[in-house]
Amino acid sequence: MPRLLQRSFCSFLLLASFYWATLSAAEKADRPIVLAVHPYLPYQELQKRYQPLASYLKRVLGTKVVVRIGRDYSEHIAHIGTDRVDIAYLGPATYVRMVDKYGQKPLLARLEVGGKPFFHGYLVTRSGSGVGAIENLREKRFAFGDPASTMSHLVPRHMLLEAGLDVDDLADYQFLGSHKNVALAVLSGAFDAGAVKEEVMESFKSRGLRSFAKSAPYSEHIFVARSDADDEFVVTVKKALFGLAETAEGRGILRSIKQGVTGLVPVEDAHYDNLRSVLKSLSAHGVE
Amino acid sequence: MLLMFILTASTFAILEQQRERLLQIAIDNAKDDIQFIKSTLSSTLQQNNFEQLGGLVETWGRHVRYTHELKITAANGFVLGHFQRDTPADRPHRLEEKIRYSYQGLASLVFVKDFGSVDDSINKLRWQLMSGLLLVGLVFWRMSWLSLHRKREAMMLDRANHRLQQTAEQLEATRAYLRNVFDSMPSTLVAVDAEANVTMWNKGAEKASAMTASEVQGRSFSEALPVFASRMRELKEAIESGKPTRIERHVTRMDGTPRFSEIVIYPLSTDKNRGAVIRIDDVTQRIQMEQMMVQTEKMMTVGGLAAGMAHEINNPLSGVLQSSQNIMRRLSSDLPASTATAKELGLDLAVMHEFLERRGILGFLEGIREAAERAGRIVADMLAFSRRSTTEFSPLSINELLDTVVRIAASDYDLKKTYDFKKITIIREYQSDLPAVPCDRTEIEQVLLNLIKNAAHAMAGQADRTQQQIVLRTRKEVDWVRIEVEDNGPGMSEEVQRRVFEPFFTTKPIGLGTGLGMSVSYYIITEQHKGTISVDSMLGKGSRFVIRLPYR
Repeated sequence: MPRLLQRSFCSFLLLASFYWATLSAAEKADRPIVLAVHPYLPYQELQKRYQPLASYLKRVLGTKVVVRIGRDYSEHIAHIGTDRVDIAYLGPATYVRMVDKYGQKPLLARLEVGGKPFFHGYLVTRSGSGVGAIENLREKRFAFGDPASTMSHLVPRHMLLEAGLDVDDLADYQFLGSHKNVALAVLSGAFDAGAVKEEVMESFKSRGLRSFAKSAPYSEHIFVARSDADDEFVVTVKKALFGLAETAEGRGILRSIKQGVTGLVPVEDAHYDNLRSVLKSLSAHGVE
Repeated sequence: MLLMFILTASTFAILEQQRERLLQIAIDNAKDDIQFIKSTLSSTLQQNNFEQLGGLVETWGRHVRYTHELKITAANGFVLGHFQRDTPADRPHRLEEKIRYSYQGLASLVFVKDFGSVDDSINKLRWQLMSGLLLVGLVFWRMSWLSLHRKREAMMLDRANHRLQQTAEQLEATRAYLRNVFDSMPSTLVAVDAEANVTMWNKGAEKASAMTASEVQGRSFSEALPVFASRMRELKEAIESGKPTRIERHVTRMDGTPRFSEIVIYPLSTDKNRGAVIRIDDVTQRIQMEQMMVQTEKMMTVGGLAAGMAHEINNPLSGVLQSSQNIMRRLSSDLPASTATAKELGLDLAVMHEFLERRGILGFLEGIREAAERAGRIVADMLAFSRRSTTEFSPLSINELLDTVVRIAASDYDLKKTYDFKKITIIREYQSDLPAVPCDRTEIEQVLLNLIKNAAHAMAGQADRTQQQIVLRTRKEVDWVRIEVEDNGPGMSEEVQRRVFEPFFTTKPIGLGTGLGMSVSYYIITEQHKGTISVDSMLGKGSRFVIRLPYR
């Protein structure tokens, strides 16, 4: 079958380039490759999730790959920004900020979740709360997630602003840290509404969570390389990441990062332009 | 048992009391628990950390004792955290707290403890205690049973011991009795095993062989009793065949004279102990007695013959005697018929007498007469001897008997001619008031005559016959009359003295005397009259025979 042949040929090519990459990477064998991940989950959890990828990259690159979890978002940004890590995994907003502060980096790949390399944010409430639209949020208690979070703060905040609302119009607003927390808070009635990402919204639907507003699509999480990474490295890693969806093992590695991840796909900076403008708009309003 | 019951009852009561207490404690603990949980959850909620609630509830639910259910519900009914055990609660105890978590709401914290575990604990404790008590009870019971059992056992042992001892004693007594029986038999009793080795050996055997039981134990029969070694064949045959065997006359020689033994072999028939018991009796005396009786029978037969013969002889003899006496008388000049006839014939009797004397006719006639008289006397003696009448006892005077016997002895032709009895001085030392002795005249006369004759015979052999005497003494002793016949003849040696009463023993030359006289005398005195007869003699000095006859 030609497709298989194609795939096999691709794999063969991949392998060939890997070896070549390995040979060149061998020169830098003394220092391990650092894969930095932002602390969006507990440390152990993140290590567990990203270790398969690290092992895979080690095989590919022929050098040990360590997973480094950032202390916080700003530190994470600073590390990749100042090229202290080799590869970084960033959320969309984090990426934008990072680039804004430190300049462009070689882009490696972005997540493809459920077949889509973008996602939406949702404004949610519990069923029967009486909140049907953003406009209803006036004098309501609203729950955000992490201030730096794209979907649990920045985008929703922008949505509110677009709707002519700001946090002052809310009876109360809190940053609850995580999407899940937001969902629970909303469900428990502590807050009337909140902002969560799509997957969280989906998972809490059965427990009574309802969405009443949906955001525009924003590009998914991204893998970048340090700015002084050589092309060879970048190409190798890109190819490696793109190839994960091809194999069962690769798909396993992807799922390990996040359930629902179907692949790592090419990415361009332009994919984040809409987010960039949102952030600009927010910062104009004083939201950082 | 009663103790056990009391202990159990009190334990139960205590446990029940404890249950209440435990329950109270558990409830108090539960209250503390819920307060702690409440405070923690409260702070968590206040930090809006809804995410953690699920985990916390799960953790506490698992680790807090007796938790059946732990649930935190938002004011609107949304369950923020829930833990519940699968199994239903046996004894649920519900505690509820309210937690402020938002401006509007009080979260409800429901804490259900299952004090069924308390029950469980109590029950477990109860079971443990019960089993412990049971164990203790069992131990006690066992101990008491053991001690009782031991006591009973001891008692039984005692009884068994006692019985054993009794049996042992009985056994010992039986053994001793058997041993006594075994030993008291005058015979020689020997028990042998299948190989004819000695297993038992009585006192008689010890005496006969001069070897003790311990010396002969296990040795062969032939070794133990060499004199009977020649009978080993019969012994072995008897053991083998199982048939009792009697050897009536086994001859052994002791000091030159024969001794006779009767050997009877009784084989033992049990399978376990094959072997035999051998009884040996010295029957020498009996044999001799038998021989004597045979002799006596012979003699009686002879006597009978003799008596018959005697009667037959007496007739012609008396004819001879009478005729010879007549001849003698008619030849003498005393008878008137003879003188008348001589005158008629013109015979001179004196010349006839002279002729008869010169020719020795008168001598011959005298000889015929004497010979006939002597023959007659012999016949008479023989008749007297053969006339064996039954023993007739009558109280007699011994002194009288002695005198009679002396008279008989004096007229005894034998003594007169050969031994010249008249030359011997008879000294009488009679006790005058001797009591009458019940005895048989003929027999006692026979005995006394025998003694006197023997004395005379003994003295006849001596050269110097001048001082020869026989002393006859009678004395009354406590229970009997003592008779002594003493001579100052040549006396007897020790050996002769020992054997003087033996049948067929004689110092006289062959042909003279049968040697029966003394043994018959012995028999008469000891057996017939229950007396004693003994001899006391010294070579060169003389002999003294002492007879004792009971007079009561």
